[in-house]
Amino acid sequence: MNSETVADDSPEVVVIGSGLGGLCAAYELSKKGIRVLVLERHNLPGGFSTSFVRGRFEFETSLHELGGASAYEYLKNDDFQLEFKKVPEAYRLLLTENGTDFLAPFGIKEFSDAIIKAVPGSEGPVKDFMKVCEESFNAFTYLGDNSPPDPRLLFKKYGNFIRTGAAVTDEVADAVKLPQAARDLIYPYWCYLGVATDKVSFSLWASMIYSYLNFGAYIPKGRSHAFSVSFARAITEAGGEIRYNAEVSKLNTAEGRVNGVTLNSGETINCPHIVSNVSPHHVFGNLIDPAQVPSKAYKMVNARKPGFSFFVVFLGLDADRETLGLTDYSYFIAPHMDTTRLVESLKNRHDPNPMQATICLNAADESASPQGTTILSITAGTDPKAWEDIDPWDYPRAKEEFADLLIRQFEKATGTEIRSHIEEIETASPETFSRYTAAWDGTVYGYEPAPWDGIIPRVLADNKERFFKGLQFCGGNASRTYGFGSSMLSGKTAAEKTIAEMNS
Amino acid sequence: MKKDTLKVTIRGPLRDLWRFISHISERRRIFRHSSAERPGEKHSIRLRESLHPEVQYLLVDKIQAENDSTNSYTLIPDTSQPGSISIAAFSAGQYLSVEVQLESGLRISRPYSISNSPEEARRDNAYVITIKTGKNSFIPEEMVKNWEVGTALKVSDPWGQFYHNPLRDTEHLVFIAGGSGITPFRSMVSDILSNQENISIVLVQGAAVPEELLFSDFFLNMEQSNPGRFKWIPVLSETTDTEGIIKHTVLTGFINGVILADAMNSRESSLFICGPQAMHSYIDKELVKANLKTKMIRRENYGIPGSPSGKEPVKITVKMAGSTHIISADRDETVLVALERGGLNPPSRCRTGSCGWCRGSLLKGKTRYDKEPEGLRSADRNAGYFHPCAAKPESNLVVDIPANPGINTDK
Ligand SMILES: Cc1cc2nc3c(=O)[nH]c(=O)nc-3n(C[C@H](O)[C@H](O)[C@H](O)COP(=O)(O)OP(=O)(O)OC[C@H]3O[C@@H](n4cnc5c(N)ncnc54)[C@H](O)[C@@H]3O)c2cc1C
Ligand code: FES
Repeated sequence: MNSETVADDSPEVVVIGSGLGGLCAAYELSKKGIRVLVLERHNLPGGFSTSFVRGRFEFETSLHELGGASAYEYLKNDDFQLEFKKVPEAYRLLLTENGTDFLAPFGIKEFSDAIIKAVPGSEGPVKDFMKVCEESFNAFTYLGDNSPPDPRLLFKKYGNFIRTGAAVTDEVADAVKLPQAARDLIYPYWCYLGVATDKVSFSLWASMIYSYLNFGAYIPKGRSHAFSVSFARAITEAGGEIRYNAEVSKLNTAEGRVNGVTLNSGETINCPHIVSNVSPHHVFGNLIDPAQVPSKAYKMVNARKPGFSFFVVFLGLDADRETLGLTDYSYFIAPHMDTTRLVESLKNRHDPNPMQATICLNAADESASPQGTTILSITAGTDPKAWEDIDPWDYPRAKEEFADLLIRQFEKATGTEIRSHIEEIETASPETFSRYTAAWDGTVYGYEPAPWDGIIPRVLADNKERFFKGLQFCGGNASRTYGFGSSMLSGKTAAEKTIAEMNS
Repeated sequence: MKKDTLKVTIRGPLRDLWRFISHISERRRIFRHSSAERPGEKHSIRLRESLHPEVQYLLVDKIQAENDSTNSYTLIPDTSQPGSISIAAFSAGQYLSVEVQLESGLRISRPYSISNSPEEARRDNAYVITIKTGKNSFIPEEMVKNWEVGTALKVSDPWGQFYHNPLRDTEHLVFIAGGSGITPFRSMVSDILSNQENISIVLVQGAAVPEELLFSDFFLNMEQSNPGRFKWIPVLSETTDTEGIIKHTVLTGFINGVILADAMNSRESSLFICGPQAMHSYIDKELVKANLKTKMIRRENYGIPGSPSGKEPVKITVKMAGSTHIISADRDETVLVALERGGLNPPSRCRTGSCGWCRGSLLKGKTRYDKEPEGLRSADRNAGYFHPCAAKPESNLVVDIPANPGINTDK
């Protein structure tokens, strides 16, 4: 056996974790000729952005839809060669207590018109609400392009953004007198943020729903695993290296700056710049020697609330969509749209009436599964705490029960029969996410975006909350908050900041 | 225009402005008042660690001969290892990947289905695995040669998707086993009969000679105590003489369409098939011939055939964890086996293309699959990633293979 080692391959930047944030950071850095080493504990790139195969079905692990223009346009890059399919409609909402059945189209005008038609007399408030959302979105775009911003212009042009910037969504709905019936139809997207409308930062909420509704949403061919593989390929082609099965067990620091990492295998890699795709909780709580961590860093992480998690039922069905009567792509099913009560129900795995967001991939991409079959994935929010008391031997049963409940709820609300068509079934719980991504406590999103922890405070405080030189964060916990697009693009920001640091 | 005049306020313009400015300082105030304790994970982590420990340290506690070439090994936690207190939970039908060091110094791992039921395993805090050795099984023979009571083993967490799911499967199940492929069914039959009252099972067990009908006493017993719910159909391919060995009617020949039709008994059935690749192919043809429709078929494949052909070997350049190695490989063995023989200790679990544990990147050269591996993701296929456990080399190769993370590392 011959072994050779390549000359000077010590990395200039180490990226810990190859979720979309880490991959994007590594891609941006390696494109600039910087030697990057990505260390990933799993044997696949992508973290949540991946897929898995059961029988003749390839399931999407996490992506419901890639909403908004910025992430989509970034990924249209020639380096990636991705193919996209357009999601046909925003959502179909089924509220079982009052019989609501509402099909929400994409397009601000189309969406507003549909609401106004369904809720007579709501025209003024609906238009005002959407307008404030638009202004928030535009203000973020302006802030993104102009750093530092011109305060006078900001106040003059984006007054509503400033006045609602510290508010929660319900407060703005109250201010424009949005009727309850209209809120019921507009609020379902809350589940993609995971925070009730009386707690979520309005500006974040507003820019999300505006970007989704205005631009629409897409899914990639080959599932979101195609994103990860494309990044991985582009990184290695640009001279970067990705190592799988390489869990970082220590982040080494001295005198307030990072100087490398140690792997589970015992190997130490020296490096003055680190981009962490893993959460500040994990970095400060587990990876850095406690003697080196300032108490301020602990206070920072303890103040922030890791968000909620999901329970997913992946179904491969042995009949086509028409036979099954699955007409739509995205079904939001809930007893009502009182988001505070819905959040409360996440704590209880046995709540008979949770909210579910269910995706039928074939409605956007007919070829998502073999002819004559359909893929349906049912997702419900769940609090990781609801899983901590389960005896490991009863865990399969607990998953079965939750899956059974969600399938029944879906069939009842849509009037379809899918149970007898189940050819493949898989479920994922917070335990599953914890295992595959090591996400803190099995959460699927980063820190909850309360107004004080929304994008604006995160961006403004960013430089003050850096406890080690040479260390940048990216991913769902970073300044742009979570979701596929934000997590990914935060990698670009982290790369830019790292380059600035390298040059300073 | 309304667009320019819309002015939304929450608490009045000035107070809104003040609030906007102060929500940044509120962040600092909240930080100041929060705990300075080092944070620790609380919720799903405990479940994750007990269900999927990175490695299980086990001891051989009992060895029981099933026949001349097959032993059952009872494995219990090695309590001398920190944190090794109980075995990880599993579903009936799952397997363990067992790691051993051969006399030659090679480290390899092989998958073995757990043959006791979750209930039994939990009660005894022990797994039972049943291993057949003998001709054409070089690795198992080498592996267990020196096992005795007290031998320490490193074993993976329970793994695999070969288990019953009441949400998917029909109430009538047909289990088909060939040779040592019977092991997961020993666990599943025991588990399902004692926990799922509405389910009936027919087990078709194929073997060459009566001595190879593993667990026959157990299945006989289960049939007697579960009339109407469990039926055992042993099928022997090489002999009809079962005198004094099996007290049960035995069919002869291969497991064919007539036997399968009888097992399905005109009921909608979920089929579970476990055994060597050749048996899978044979049964598939028989199902078509007999025009039998199944609800679904779940498979466990006991290995991808392939052995040194003696053809001109190929050269594989392997990049692994920052270094490069060059090994020689036979065109008729899988890349995974070549890597193992090259001493590289590559990761593997299912060894039949489905779990993705061995995933690597093919940078140069050509490989072939006898059958496209079931677990290969489409984006991986398009971008040149492959499953070495199912791929055989067609030319010299350059591959990138991740180092083994799990049970093969010493920590
Ligand atoms: C999920 C699963 C569960 C299983 N459960 C059980 C079970 O419960 N009981 C059971 O008995 N079996 C079980 N098996 C099957 C068992 O793992 C295989 O039968 C066994 O490992 C096959 O061993 P082998 O040596 O025949 O082939 P492999 O170990 O696959 O070896 C293949 C080839 O490697 C070559 N080779 C490798 N190393 C060397 C070397 N150093 N020198 C020369 N040649 C070498 C051999 O020539 C041979 O051709 C299971 C398999 C799977 C996939
Ligand atoms: S070891 Fe499972 S796919 Fe190769």
